Amino acid sequence: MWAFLTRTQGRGRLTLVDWLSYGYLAFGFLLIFIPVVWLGLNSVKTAFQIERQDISLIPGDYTRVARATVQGPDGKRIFFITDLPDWVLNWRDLSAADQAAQDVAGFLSAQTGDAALALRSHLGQTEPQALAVIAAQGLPDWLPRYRTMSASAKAEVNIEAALAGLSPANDRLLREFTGLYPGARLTSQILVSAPDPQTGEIRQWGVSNIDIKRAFTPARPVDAVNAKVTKLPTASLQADRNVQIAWENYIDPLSGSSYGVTVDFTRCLTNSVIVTIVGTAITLLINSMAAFALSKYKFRGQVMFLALILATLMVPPTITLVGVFKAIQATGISGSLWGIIIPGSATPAGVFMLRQYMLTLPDELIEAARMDSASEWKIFWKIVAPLALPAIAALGILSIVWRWNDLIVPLVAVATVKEAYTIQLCLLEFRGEHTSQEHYRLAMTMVSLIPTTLVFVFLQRYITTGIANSGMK
Amino acid sequence: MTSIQLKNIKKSYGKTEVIHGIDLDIPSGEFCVFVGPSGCGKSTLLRMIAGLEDVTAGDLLIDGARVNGISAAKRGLAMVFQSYALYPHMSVRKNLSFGLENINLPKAEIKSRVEDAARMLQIDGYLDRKPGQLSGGQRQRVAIGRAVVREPRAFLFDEPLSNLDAELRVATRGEISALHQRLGNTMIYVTHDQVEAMTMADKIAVLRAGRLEQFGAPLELYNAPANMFVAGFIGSPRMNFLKAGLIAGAGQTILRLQDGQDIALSTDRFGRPASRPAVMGIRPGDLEITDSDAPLHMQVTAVEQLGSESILFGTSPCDEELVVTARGQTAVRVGDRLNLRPNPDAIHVFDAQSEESLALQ
Amino acid sequence: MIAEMAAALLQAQWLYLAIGYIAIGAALTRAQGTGAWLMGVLGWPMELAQRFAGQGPQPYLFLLPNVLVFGLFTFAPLFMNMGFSATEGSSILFQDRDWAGTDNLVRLLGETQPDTGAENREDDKFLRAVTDTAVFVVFQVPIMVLFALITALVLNRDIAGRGFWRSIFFYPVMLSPVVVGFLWTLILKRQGVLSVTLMQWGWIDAPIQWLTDPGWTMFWSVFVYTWAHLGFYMLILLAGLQAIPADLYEAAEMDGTSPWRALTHITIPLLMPTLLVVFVLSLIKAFQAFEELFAMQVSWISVVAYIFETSGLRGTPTTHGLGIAATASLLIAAFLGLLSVLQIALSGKGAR
Repeated sequence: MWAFLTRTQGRGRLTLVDWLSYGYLAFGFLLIFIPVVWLGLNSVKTAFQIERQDISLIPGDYTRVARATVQGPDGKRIFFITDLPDWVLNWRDLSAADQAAQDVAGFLSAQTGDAALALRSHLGQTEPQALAVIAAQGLPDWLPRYRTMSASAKAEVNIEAALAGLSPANDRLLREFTGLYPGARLTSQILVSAPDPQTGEIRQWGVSNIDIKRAFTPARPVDAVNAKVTKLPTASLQADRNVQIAWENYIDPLSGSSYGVTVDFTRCLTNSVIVTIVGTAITLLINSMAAFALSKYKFRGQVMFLALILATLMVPPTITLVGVFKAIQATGISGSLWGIIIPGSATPAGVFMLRQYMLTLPDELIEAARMDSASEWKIFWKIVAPLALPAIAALGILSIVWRWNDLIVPLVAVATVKEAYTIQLCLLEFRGEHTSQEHYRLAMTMVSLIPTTLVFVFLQRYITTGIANSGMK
Repeated sequence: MTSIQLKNIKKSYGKTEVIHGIDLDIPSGEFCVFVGPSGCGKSTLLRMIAGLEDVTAGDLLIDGARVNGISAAKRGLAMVFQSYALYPHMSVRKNLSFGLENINLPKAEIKSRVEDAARMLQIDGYLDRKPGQLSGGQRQRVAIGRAVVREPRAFLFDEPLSNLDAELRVATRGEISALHQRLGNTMIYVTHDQVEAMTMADKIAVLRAGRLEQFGAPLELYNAPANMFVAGFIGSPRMNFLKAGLIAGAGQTILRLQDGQDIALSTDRFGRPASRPAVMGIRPGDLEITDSDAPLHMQVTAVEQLGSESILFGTSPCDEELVVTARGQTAVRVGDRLNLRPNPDAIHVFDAQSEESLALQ
Repeated sequence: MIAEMAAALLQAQWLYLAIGYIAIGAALTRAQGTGAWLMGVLGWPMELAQRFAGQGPQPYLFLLPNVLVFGLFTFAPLFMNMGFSATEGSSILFQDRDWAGTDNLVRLLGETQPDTGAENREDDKFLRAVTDTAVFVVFQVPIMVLFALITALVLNRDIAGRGFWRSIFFYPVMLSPVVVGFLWTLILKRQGVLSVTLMQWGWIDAPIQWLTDPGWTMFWSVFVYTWAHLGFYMLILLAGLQAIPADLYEAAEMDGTSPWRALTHITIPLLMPTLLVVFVLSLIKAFQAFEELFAMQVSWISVVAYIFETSGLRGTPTTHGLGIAATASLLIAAFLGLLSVLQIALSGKGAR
């Protein structure tokens, strides 16, 4: 590798300018690829890691422990539950289908004590259980609404009387349900081991975050209940980091099981594929037809048409947004994929590029075909189009990139019709419902890179020559 | 069989007229060559007949029917292009069958026609190659084959041999003539090479600057050129031209050369024209080198020995260029002074002003 | 998947027209083979026209689809913009809009609230957008041209792996504006890697939201926009450099010209036409800067962003928004048209 980089073409040693050149190129390389690689790394980090703004390079997670907060008649209790299965820890991030697939009742029945209370609340079982008790015991029908009643309405009913006579367990359940006790909470924390500042003995601790910039990290010992927060020196923390690649960031949205997302990624990708393929096909057809007319015929108004087509370069849709919107509306293709496909199908740069190429094809070929009784249409697709194939291929590849990356036309054409969103619109419009589902967006951004990157890797030659020849993007 | 008639055909591009009204009558089955220097309009004329260029004015008739407005495809003609214009992306077979498919001939018919033509032109060995894989001569045959399979009413050739080397050109020339013998179709052939015209044509049309200078059989043009242009264009080496005065005497007409030598003209050939400035034309082979006194003199400046004949270049006393061909090999050297006697039956006289021949028809 | 795709395309109301077109084509064409049949089906109007009207109208027919699309979606919108700018109201339908004359121009320049029509001098968004965009252009264009030139010059040297390096610098051109925006947002957001790293190094005390911080938003806008588009202009310049005959340099070397003098006296003058084209082209592009900035949610608005936001196409329509946006777009279009004319004049000169 070094020999390759320092090789000169028979000019002996590397000069200062050579060193500067390589330095510049290496710097450019880093500047261009670091953001892309960074995106790639982040796209396989777990939702938890993304939410924590974890900037570590490795997609993975610390070993986790659940910190539970339970309030009851004897006050607030904070304690840790270890060895919980992943689905319990990540319960809130699971899709409805995944939640339904879990044996919640079976899991809860194996739990005892405060842990059971905390998990019952965490897994969303408080409400169904309470409603069942209310129905079974024939309790007043305002109980389910009690939580949301106004203070004056609450004063009119006697909750204590209603709850009197219930078993301690049911009393506890209904008090939590009606909000008399705050609900139990379960949060996921990082499990670290560090020496206890007082005793020096190694203990396990739960911390919410590890931030190397801070000298001390607040932590609670895992094996105690209601222990005070202890400030541990951040440098002394030992945490297990297990590399964990969150393929679900990709798999969930692509299989349609992403939770709490407002857009349908598979739909968007399908739409983008349709727009790209159909749009490119139409572009190639009508652009090469126009280029054929402008290069191989002499007719009245030829110069005017050429000027007109070049003039369209000056009025990009970016500027005439309002009018383009109106035109798409007026032609009745707004809100459908055609609204994206048709307006972008006539490209002045494409016509120009193809025309320049077709000018180099000998006129005698066309005359020979005419002598051979070929119709003009047949001359076009049977003689000229195959011979202009290098230029048509270059335009096709450019068109694929344009179409896939286009934002303005879809933005104007489909407005608020989610069914017709392309992938670019999806990424832009992406909003999580409750939490920001950033991990999905990162993964889908990577997916959206795939087609253009493939084109870049395998077909770059066509694009660069296309641009170099026409001076147009 | 197909006859082609041009009646006062004109062609203009914008305001520039390039063909100034040509009348031509090509009888059925004839091999007609359009010849002239480059830019004389011969190709344009051919393309107008083919239907590739619009006719600005005049009538173009094929078999007596006016075809001005009819497209190239419907005229039933076939053309062989200078660059051959073979479809580079199609195999030879496809090149030959393309035109037949366009007129929806049955597949079996197409196949037999293509194979017959390929056999005739000896290209059946490479029917499945692309034109790019063929040599120049092979491409030429394919181009002719493409015309042949169409079984056209007439063949049009647009300088088809100009891309071949000398040897191949001679061979192909013979093949095209043989093709004409075999098929008997009307053929129009455009070339700037008068040798091609002389060797192949039944009739030659000499064109210059959009005008028809003369139309006739090759020897007719050679023996009785209508004007100085045709006289100079047809025949190799070129005809010698010497300025002279035409003096109508009492008994005979005399041509007086610039150095004062007189040559008598036969009344049979020239009648009794009035006195005027004229140009005498005499072909190099019609000058005889003689020891006795003769009207023409030449200082030899160059000698080309071809073995079977010798070509002597030189200047007249009045510094006009002269070329003489002598049978066999010669002992003449550069610097020699020669006496030349013209064959009186081969003397041409042109009006100096109009350049028209003064010979009686 | 296929059915889904088909369904997505078959929702337009002129579907029947398309089916009819194909049906007629299928009935008329006698071609054999899939490709030939398909093209026959597509081109039946051309075949018919040639049969009945001859070759004369053919070039016009070949131009028709393309010109139709241009007409409907490029030229018509221009005139519609004129229509919108001369009328007022929140409706997109012209029959519901009232004649306004030059009122919208007055509103635009006089800074009227697009929704209420009330005076709006505190928040003069259009002038602000124009000046902000001007600042952006003034910094972005020279910086980009300079770095594109440097990159092209470096890549034009005898360096190992030239094609590889050229590809690297070209890669960002292949990225969509949305992706470019996201890539850099990920780095430049408040808790992004840049802020955190700088804090770890102790260079800054508190995290900075680079993209919206008033002191940084323009810097990063210029940076990201240049990052994304540099490769394209580099490629044009590289093509220009490679068109300079090598024997000129050899002659200069024989004359003992130093590399620096060769650069300033041979390369730059000969590259000038290309350089001018690149300059004007990037100027036109920079004035239209929108998509990347929109995706990054920078804290300033460019003129195109102003047009987009004011028009209310995606938000709630406002009383005068459409008219004001249309007027603004006409002003910008006129300005860009002028620049384009300049470009064509320059590239014409460059070609000669």
